[in-house]
Amino acid sequence: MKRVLLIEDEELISALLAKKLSEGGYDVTVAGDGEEGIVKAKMQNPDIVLLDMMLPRMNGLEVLQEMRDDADLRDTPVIIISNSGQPVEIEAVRKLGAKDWLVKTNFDPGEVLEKVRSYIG
Amino acid sequence: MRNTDPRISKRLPEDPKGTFQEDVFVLEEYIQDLWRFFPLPICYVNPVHRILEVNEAFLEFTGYTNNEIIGTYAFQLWKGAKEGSALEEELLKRDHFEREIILTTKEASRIPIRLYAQLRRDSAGEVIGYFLALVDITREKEFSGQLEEKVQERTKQLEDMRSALLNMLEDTEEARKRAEGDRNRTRAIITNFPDGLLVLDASQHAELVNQAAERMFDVKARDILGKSLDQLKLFSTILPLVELYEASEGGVSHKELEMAGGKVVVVSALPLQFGEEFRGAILALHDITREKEVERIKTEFVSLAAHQLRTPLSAIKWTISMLLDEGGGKNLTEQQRDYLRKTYRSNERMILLINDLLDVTRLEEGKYLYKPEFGQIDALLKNVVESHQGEAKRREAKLKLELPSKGPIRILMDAEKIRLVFQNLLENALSYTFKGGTITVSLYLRGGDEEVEVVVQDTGMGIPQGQQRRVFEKFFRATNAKKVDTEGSGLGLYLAKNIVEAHGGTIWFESQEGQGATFHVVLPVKKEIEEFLKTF
Repeated sequence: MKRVLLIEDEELISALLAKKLSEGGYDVTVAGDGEEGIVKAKMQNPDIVLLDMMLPRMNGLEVLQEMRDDADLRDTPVIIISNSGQPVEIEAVRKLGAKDWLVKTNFDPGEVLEKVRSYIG
Repeated sequence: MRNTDPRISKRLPEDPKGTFQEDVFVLEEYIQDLWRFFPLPICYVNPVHRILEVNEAFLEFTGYTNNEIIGTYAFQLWKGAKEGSALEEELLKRDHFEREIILTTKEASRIPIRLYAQLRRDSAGEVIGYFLALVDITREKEFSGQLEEKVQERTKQLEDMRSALLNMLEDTEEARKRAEGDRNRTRAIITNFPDGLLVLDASQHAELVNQAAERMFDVKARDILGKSLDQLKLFSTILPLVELYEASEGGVSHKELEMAGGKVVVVSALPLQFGEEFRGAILALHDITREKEVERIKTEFVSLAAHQLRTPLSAIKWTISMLLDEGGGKNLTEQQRDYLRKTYRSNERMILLINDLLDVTRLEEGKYLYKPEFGQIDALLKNVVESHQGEAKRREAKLKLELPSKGPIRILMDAEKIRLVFQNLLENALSYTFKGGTITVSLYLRGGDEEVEVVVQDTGMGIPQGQQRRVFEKFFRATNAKKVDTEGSGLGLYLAKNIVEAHGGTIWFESQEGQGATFHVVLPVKKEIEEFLKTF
């Protein structure tokens, strides 16, 4: 079973998305802030990371930077799920290798599941 | 003239052989021939001013015959009796007399002449008559008249030239004063200009530095004036600017440069070129430290606002979405599902409004045109129209697309934003068109294929005359539109206008209330990409 790490501080969002992804056949782990996200990523070496940008303790950009500095996590695909999304921000995460930027209000959980499937099958 | 003067024969000596008399005849003939031949009008007059003899030229000149003129009073030819008598007296006083007078011919022509008189006297000195010679001076008079005119004309020209010269001198003086004033004004402007200015002369030495530049470089003008570029490099604060200028080979425009103390400036170099001649350069430094900071704060704010506003909305959206999903909502009654669908739709509208607001904020930030690329406008329109066919059907309206036969048509655009323009125009057209109405989207190539024009025409309610000029304002909604569709954000056309203008295009409309509206969008096809990229 493919492992998905979901780093998201909004509990309702992460609960809904985790449920959807589990139903879709993935092994989902949830982290509620950036630091916890990095720890769990290092422990589990997930197949894909869904990363929020505005997070307590360590923001999405910092998490992404740290993952890129870690040899084991460097090539793990990352999809940003954030409600921000200004061009400057998108450009910054693209430079760090993020695959996609999804604005949560513009996607349903089902569509997020489709995205995940398109990257890791 | 033969034997006319008895005094001659009286004085002749005895001449028994007659040879002497013969000689006299020969002489008389000689004189007669000469008299006849002489081209100058002459006459001989006795002391009481009766004409005794005239020559051929005299008759010709005056128009009289010999019979008419001989024995007449000489002065009747030229003057009234009064002046004539004064002239008579004067004439007889001197042996030689000369005077300009007017001669009246038989035909009453008046001819200016110079009159010459030569008295003849007998051996006792008594006046025995006089010769008169008339010289026509008409030509001379005319010539002198013309000459006078010419002299006057020339004098006037000279006077005009003189006053023109004086005026020029005055103008020059004024111009000099003005130039001096201008120069002082320019200096004052440069000195007090809020941007830093460093002027280099033709030999690339510092010629002028203003107060703002002194502050930015933290130097005194007297320390750097006259210094060469290499000498200027010795100042650590000026070094980066000089390096940038040298690397640019005479033309930096709008390059950001970080100065000592964390200040950020935009540097522009303007070569001062007069024709081919290089006269130096102006280096301008515009402090954008504050703008940079504002930009950063604004980005952060928009990011935060987007997050704060969208997060609860996405939670609602996802919750309802999960509830309505098959599996998640199978225990709901049809009425509950209906409520949830309506809630979902309301939530979607809220999301759209927030998205519009964020788009507007970003647009105002000047960052909206993120990805200008060459793309197919015809394909884009086809796609947008197709995605609205469902809505058109639901509203029982006809939605048509008319494309030119020539295609594909590629233009430089930010496709995502241009899509937004036509989505907005179509959504409006659909919202405000009545059942059975028609919406036509047409694409035309214009101006020698340099521009495209997209026309979105509907048969809807139109825009009231009095509100037409406000249509592109932020948050504006026409009164009749509000009655039919209460949920519009009033941002769609504002966005559309901004996007179109950011592409270098124009948008306008024609409408009459109750008779539909026609929106026109004109976009340039292929401006220089570099020029385009400069705009954001």
